[in-house]
Amino acid sequence: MRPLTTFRRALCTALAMLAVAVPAGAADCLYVSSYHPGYHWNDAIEAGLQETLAGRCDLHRFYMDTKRHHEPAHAEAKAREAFALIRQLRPAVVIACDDSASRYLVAPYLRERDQPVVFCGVNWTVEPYGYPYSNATGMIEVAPMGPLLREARALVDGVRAIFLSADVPTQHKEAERLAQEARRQGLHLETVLVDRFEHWQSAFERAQDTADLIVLGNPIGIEGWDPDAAQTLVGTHTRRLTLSFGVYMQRYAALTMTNVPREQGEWAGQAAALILEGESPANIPIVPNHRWEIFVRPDMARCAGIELPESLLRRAVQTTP
Amino acid sequence: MSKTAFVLTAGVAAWAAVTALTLTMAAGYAFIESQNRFLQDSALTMQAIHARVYELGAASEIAGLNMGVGPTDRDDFRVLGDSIRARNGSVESLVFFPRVRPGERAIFEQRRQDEGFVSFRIRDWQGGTPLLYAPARSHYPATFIEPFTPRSARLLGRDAATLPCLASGVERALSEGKLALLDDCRLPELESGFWLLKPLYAGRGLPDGPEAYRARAQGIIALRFSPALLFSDTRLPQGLHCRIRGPGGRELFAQGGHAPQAAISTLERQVSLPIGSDRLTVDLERQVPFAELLVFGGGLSSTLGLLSALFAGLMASNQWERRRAQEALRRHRDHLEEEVALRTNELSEANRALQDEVTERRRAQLELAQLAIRDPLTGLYNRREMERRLDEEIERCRRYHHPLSVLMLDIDHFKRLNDTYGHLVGDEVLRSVASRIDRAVRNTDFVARYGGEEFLAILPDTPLESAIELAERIRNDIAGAPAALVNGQSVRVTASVGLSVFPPDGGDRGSLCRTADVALYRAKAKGRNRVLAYSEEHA
Repeated sequence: MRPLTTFRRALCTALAMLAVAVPAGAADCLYVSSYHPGYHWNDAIEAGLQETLAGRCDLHRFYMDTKRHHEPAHAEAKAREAFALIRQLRPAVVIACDDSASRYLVAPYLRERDQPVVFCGVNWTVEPYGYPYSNATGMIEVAPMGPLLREARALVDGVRAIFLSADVPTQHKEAERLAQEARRQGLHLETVLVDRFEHWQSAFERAQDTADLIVLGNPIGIEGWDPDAAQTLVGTHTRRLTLSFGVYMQRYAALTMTNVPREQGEWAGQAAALILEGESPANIPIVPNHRWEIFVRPDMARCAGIELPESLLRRAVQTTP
Repeated sequence: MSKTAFVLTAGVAAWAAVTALTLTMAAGYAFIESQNRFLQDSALTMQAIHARVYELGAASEIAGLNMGVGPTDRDDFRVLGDSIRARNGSVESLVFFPRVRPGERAIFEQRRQDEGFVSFRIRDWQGGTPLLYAPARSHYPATFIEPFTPRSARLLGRDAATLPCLASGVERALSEGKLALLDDCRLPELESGFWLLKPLYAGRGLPDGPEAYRARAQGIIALRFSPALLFSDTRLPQGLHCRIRGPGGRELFAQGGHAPQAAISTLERQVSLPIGSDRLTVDLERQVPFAELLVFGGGLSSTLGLLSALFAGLMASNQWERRRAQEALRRHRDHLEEEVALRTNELSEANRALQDEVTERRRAQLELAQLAIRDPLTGLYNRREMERRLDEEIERCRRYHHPLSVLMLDIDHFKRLNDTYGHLVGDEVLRSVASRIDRAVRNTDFVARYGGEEFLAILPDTPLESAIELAERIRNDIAGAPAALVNGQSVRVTASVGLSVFPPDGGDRGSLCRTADVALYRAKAKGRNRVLAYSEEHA
């Protein structure tokens, strides 16, 4: 037998096995991730999505990998590849997660087309991408600033707050949003953005005398950031309630609230399932996330003279340095 | 007829008569016995049903208490929803329909959009004219929904006042201040149609009278529940058939049945169970089978004498048992009512204590918030608050293409007045001028102390002509009456005013304040005590 014939037979057998494995007539769903497998945020969204859509459609995956490759040219090329795949596969629903997928794929290629789209993980606002479209719905990702400040207000009497973070554009935006939320809750927020670790240290020490609450922002962008030195400083100098809304800072703060990436995946999966049942994306509202995870460090709270209440401890995960 | 035949005939006749009498007595006894058992079984069944209904009512009361304690957001509502559903497995979802007055609709929608609900709108359920706006033509949009899934999220913004079945329930609950039970209100977005509506009111305690109910109505908490799950663990005694119907007549629950057999009679009982302003109807039924009576009759016909002697005693005994069962039923009902009253009092007390605490905290928060935005000397808003408000008003007027005027007022020769009479008199003059400006403007205008002796008023929806008219009125008022008294002598001051208008004189806060300031400067230069609008010649 000629090798080519052997190959053809093997191919036919493989195709036949595939046809048996996939239920006849099952719809195709395409998950387009802005990131890559192995990145925790992506993996949690994907897990939520996979669990919700199990048995409802065949979930195909495409990774744009824009966390490791920041260049716009890379994202544009990946979006073109994804669009080619969509034309070939013709999925019943495209699930586009995080901002790059909306910016480079959905807005330029799928806006107001016949292709139903569910997006998720879009940060704070959909304005840059012009949502809502009649063929798209999804979930926005909002940091839990409101719940965090509300919990904090129940723990301390003072109204002076300081936001201490890196002097980078993303943190400028975070500071604006935090200031807005603080104003809404009657807090006076001072923003201190620093570019060097020494400045962060001195600002942290000074805040112990000038504030009642200290919100620790993301330190990415602070030159010379030393996690261990920061840990030591926090351990020896904390006298005020420290807060954060990022996973990274939970080791330094008494109270941290973070988003739950799995919620984004579960919502996207449920919305996709509804679309598979015949619902139009236009009838499913675009909503922000509303589940948070709470982390507490009772030792840090005690440094500030606060005993965390049982009602909070019951809902929280306790972390240790 | 021979003697033997007569005796036999008489004997047979006597036997037949006695047997018939025995059978009748046996049937009577069995029937009374069945009745007693039925009464006891139905009392136990009602006790179980009442407990389930009470738990559901308590869940809605707890939800109402939590929502009434203070401002609630999605996060609080999620925790509340999880907690209610963990306590009561029959609650399928919780929906909050706040009252939105017609004038507040745009603000409400905008606030929801700011929270991330893109394109949030209050929407009618049937797409046409609203069917009912009750009370006082308000909207009741679905705002918080738990569990919040894409399927249930389709409810977002749906106005409960536009779906007949919900609207009538909302109206009834709010105008009577009681729970309302809906048994046939299927929403297109959700599956089952059983709802318990809990009305919420602003302020402390329950409103006084129907008008107050309407005025203080704050919204509705709706518990969607599954009757099958609510009554699922109700164990019925053998042979008892139970059927529960809602106020609309729809069957909520039915359990138990009859084996196909010849029945001599059917025992029935109908009990009405109040829940808020509505009632559940419980039908209890048991059949008394013919075979049961035959067993008694056959056995007893051979023991006529004994039964005849015991019959009177048994009848008396049965009567006594029956009275006891009825007494137990009455005691149980009284006990349940006492429990409900006790629990309601406890909840009311807890509610009162929580509300006191919340009122105190709100007052303290309000004071702090006011301190942060007010000028301590004049009581007017401070400059920082003015800047924030001016930004907002400019954006609003830009969106709706309305004009907006900025009035900047400065007290003439204030420094000289301070040097002559001292700072205490200066402060008195500042307070007096502030009060006159504040008195002259409309509720929708906004007055702030801009600097030392400078004041600024934001006049939304006001063209230049009206702004000049207002400014002249203020200027005349200030010049026309003494601003302070020193040693019995009146101190009079005058003021100069500069005006600028959005959009021609500036498209943002900085340029509007600058052009008003330029106009003010020109008014001063032209001799003071006058009003001058900005024109490009001043630039």
